[in-house]
Amino acid sequence: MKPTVKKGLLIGRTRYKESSLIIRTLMEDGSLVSLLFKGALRRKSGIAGRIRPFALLEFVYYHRPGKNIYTASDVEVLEDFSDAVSDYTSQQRVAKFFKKAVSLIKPEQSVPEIFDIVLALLREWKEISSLSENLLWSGFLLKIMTFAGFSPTIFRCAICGGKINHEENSAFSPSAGGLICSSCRKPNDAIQFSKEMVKTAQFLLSNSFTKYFKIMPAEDEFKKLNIALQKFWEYHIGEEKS
Amino acid sequence: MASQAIEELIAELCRLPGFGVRTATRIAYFLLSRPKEDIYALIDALKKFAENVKVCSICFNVSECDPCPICADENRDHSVICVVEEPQDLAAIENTGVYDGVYHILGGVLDALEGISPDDLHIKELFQRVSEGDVKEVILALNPTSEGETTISYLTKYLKNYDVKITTLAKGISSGSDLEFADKRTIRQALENRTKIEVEK
Repeated sequence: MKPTVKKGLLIGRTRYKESSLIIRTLMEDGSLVSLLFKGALRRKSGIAGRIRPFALLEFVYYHRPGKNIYTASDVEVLEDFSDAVSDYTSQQRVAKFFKKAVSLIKPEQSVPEIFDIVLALLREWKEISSLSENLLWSGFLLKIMTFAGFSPTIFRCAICGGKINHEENSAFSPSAGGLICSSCRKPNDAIQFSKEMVKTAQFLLSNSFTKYFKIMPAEDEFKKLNIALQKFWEYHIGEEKS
Repeated sequence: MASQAIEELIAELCRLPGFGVRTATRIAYFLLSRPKEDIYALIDALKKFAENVKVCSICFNVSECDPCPICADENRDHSVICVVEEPQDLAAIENTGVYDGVYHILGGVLDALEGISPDDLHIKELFQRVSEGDVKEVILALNPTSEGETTISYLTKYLKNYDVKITTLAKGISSGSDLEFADKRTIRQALENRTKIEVEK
């Protein structure tokens, strides 16, 4: 049988029997794959040292249709981000992003863009970790929801479809599906958005994480944006799987 | 359909790590094929285990008394604490016969991906021991995994506030292994931590 070679990120691992490991990965094609590394913990194997979190790995495994776990034979570290994500607090922060992204992918589903967003976050972590948590989290949520098919409408009114006027304040309604212009009737769950917040949300979605340093609204605005997006998530996606 | 007693046993065995339904079923039927005395001996051992095994309130080692024989031994050097992940690691170090200090078992390592935080480990108790006792050295003998390294850096960050020497186990190529199987990181650490060969002249 021809082995499959794919790049991926480690998202969890469990010890199996005496010396084996079962790992959960987010693969480059945006799918969630479980791999069994038999004897990985044996002294001569050397594989366990290469199964690293916060690193881009290349896995060699045998894909068998109908199986939940595939047997893997090798792994190589392609890019190691452990220097940027070295302390526990950073790891906790990055793990929170991982968990949220992975919760959007259903079994048998592939969302390659989610892998790209998570990888970009890791690659840029050294630079972007100093950004406001609320800002980074809002941008991340907007990006992953968009590519998973739950994009909130932020360039046009979610009710009338008209262009959002940057000169007027608008509102964000999870039930309506995003921003609502000043002329449409606001649903009960609408949250008031200032014109800066509208611009910020549009900027966060359209730009890479490293460009986030260019925007400077007040922390309160980010917090409000974060709350709005979290409510949108709860309304359309619900609670993530544990 | 199997009897209720067998199903109950399978359900209990399934709770053990590494046991799926198939393995649990195989064990259940294996036990059925054994003489009753063997099963009673196993029950007896489990009962003794549940009743007598205690967790040491000082180091979190498992033994039949609290404090454990290592913590209670006055001949051991109580000024050196060796921090390990699990009781099995303590046993591995004890088997070498070269260490005469005391231990502290963390009960795991920090793992952000799996949600294991400092509150889930015996870290607070370690800091308390270091702050209260006459501790001169803390050896961080955690497994050389990325989670182990994260835990070492977390512990070091706080332990440096106390007047103690902080050390870790040497890292590098283990004896009996091949260089060609070692990962880049291990080889790098082995080179960085290389030791001088003392030659008699």
